[in-house]
Amino acid sequence: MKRYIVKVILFCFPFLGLVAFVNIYYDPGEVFHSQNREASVLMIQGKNVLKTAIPNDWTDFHLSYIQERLRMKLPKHSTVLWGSSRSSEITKELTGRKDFHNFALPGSSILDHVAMINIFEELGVLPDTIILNIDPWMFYGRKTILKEGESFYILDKDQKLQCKKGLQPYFLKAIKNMGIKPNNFFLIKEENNAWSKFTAVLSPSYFQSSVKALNKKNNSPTTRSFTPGFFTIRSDGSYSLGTWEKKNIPRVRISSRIYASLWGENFFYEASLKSEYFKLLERFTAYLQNKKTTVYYFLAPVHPLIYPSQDINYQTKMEKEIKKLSAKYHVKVLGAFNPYVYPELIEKEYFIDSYHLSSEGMNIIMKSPWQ
Amino acid sequence: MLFNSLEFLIFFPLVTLIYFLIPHRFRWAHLLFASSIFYMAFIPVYILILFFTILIDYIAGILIENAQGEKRRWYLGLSLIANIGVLAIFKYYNFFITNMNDLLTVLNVSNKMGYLQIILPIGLSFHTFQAMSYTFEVYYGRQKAERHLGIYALYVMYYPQLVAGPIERPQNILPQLRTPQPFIASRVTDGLTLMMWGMIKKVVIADKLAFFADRLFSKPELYEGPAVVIGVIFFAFQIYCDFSGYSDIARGASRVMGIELMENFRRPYLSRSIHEFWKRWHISLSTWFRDYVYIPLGGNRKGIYRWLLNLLIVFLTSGFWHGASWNFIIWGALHGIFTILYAYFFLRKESRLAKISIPYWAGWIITFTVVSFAWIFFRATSFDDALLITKNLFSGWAILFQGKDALSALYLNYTFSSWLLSILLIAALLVIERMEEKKSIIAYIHSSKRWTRYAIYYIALLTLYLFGVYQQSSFIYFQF
Repeated sequence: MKRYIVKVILFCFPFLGLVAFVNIYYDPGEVFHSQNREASVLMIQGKNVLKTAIPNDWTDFHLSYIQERLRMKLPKHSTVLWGSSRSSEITKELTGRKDFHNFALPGSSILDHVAMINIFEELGVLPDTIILNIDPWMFYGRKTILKEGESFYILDKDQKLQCKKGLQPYFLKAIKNMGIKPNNFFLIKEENNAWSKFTAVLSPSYFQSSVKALNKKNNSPTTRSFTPGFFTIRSDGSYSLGTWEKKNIPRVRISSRIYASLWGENFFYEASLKSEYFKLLERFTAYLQNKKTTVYYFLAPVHPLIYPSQDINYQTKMEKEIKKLSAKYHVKVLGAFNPYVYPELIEKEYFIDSYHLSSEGMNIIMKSPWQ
Repeated sequence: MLFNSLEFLIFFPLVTLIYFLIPHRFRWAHLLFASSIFYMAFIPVYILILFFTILIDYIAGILIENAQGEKRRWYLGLSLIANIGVLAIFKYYNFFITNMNDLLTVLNVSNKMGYLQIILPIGLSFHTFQAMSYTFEVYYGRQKAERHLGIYALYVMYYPQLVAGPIERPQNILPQLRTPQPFIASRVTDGLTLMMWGMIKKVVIADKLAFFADRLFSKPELYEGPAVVIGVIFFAFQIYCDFSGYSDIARGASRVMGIELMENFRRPYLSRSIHEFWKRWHISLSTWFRDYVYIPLGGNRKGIYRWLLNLLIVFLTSGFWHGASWNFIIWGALHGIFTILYAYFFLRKESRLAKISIPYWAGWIITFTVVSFAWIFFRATSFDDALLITKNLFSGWAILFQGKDALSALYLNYTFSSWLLSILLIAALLVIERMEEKKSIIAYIHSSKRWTRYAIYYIALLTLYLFGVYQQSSFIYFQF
């Protein structure tokens, strides 16, 4: 048996060795050597990031970019936006504030917003005004639904919002400062970096990505997210994602309809507002106000085709709760989930897709007086 | 635990290594422990259901063997009630309630019955049927009752075939579990090769075809005519490669340890008749129904009409076994009707058609067409969807004459390269299976020269690495 095992190992070794070499050397997901920091610095300096460093995991990269920007001790911005891709089209021109900076983090949750304050506080760059983008999924509790034959089974297990990888330590420090005890609801298991490296070495799917990256390493990026022209540097120095789609409105219109039928039925199926997240926003607002920071809530409209097909109850209920909170803390609300509040939005296509306004669309929302 | 997971990649060599290192007398305990871990990787608490049925059937086996006359039937009945009861609660209860509530709505009764919010234990129908085959065999006197609870538990829980078969018979497995199995290098190589072939079927072919099939069945209103045909054919091969791939991995993993599991698929898509198809498809289940339903009902011994009725009963039951849904029952009914028609016109001695020799290609096309058509009902998420797909099958054919751009519908809005690769994979599979009709793929590899053999292994590994889909998709038959 020993001889056989040795033979199998010797047989597999060259193959697995090759796989490991390709995966480590080409490293398309930057598991072994992240270039996020280098790429961030280059971008902040206004250089072409694609020629030297190729960021791949754009959420991680974005976080690194924000941290790097803050670390470089650039002049403090008096007005900043913390939000998701749904608010990434807000620029300093739209806000009318010269030292505005958009720190939108794609797909961010309330936990990410809370974590952000700690990054700013530690660096001593807490702004005077914060626009908090609030998304429909921000207080979203959804039970896991399994479909079996013609019956649905609902697992008594809530899906939890998650902090972005790397933001968890900031989040924990932030809630400690706010006097909130970490509980089961807020604690998220951090991804084990060593384990992800171990699995990536011989991973077949990683190997497939590595092979795809073979000839692209030195001249073009490996994922669509960083194709040239995908992101544009805005006038405030921040960057925006998703510009390629705006140029192709007819296609977008079709895809919006497909989205409507794909997502319309059950994106908010069995959704409920989670009081834990809501309370967190309340405490967070109070905390910011204690720090003499003016807070604005921003709600980006949903595509007019999508909005009616979603669970309107959920969205209107959420909007109502936000308005109650804004009245209690004297926080002004900009925008609304309901696109029909803005008749202009219905007249033309102002959306990149189901949930993202184009800059022209954003202009309509930001035209309304906000201070 | 999925066979196509990283966990299994660690679990399998570890369990096998320990299996060969420890003395034979401890192996049953080791395998039983490993099988429990394997099963508990899904929903741990459900192992209690397994223990419950194991205990009931173990005791029932001994009682049946020791009893005489009517008592034997009583004990068999108790064991069957326990097994079918578990199935009824976990698998069929909500289906029953749905139908009862529909009936109450029709009768204008406002009170509705409540649903059970439970998930079906994985592989429940498989291990329940395997346990039932034991009590049946003891009842018919073809198998002695197993006195060793551990060995009996291992017979039900043996991890390679625990969640999706093959549904084994005690005569095949129990003696093998009791026999010391030495480490035989050639057997281990054969087992590993079979596992690799099964993995290729699953992650390279089935999971690739799933991209297309899932598109059709999740949004049937978007596709018509040729796109539906392609989606259905892709699903036919997807389910075959998914399930037979699982069976090959199970048989291979077991063969490595020296325990031979029965063949579950014998190249069913090469069949020339529906009758032949069922001799080649999911053999362990077909023979189960033959031995414990069809033959006790009288088989073909009680006249032509009773024979045809028995066939229909078997296929309806088989459909219901697959899932608690009308779609599965309709799927079973369709196969029942196809088989009855075939039996009536081609298997009866008096039939004139029985004397006509049908060319292989004609039989093959008819069989593949009817089997694929029935898959629509098996795969569709609802009866309405199945009807819509069937309706769309006959419209939208003009697309074939509308130029290159319109043809993209044939790829179900996926990429042409993936579509072409899928077609090539199906073609390669059929070529290999045609070759296997003469000699098994393992025998081919085994008889080739060393360097050719190594080259084949390397190509297989590279195929797995380069073309496999690694999203840890579950096996389709796990839900049953």
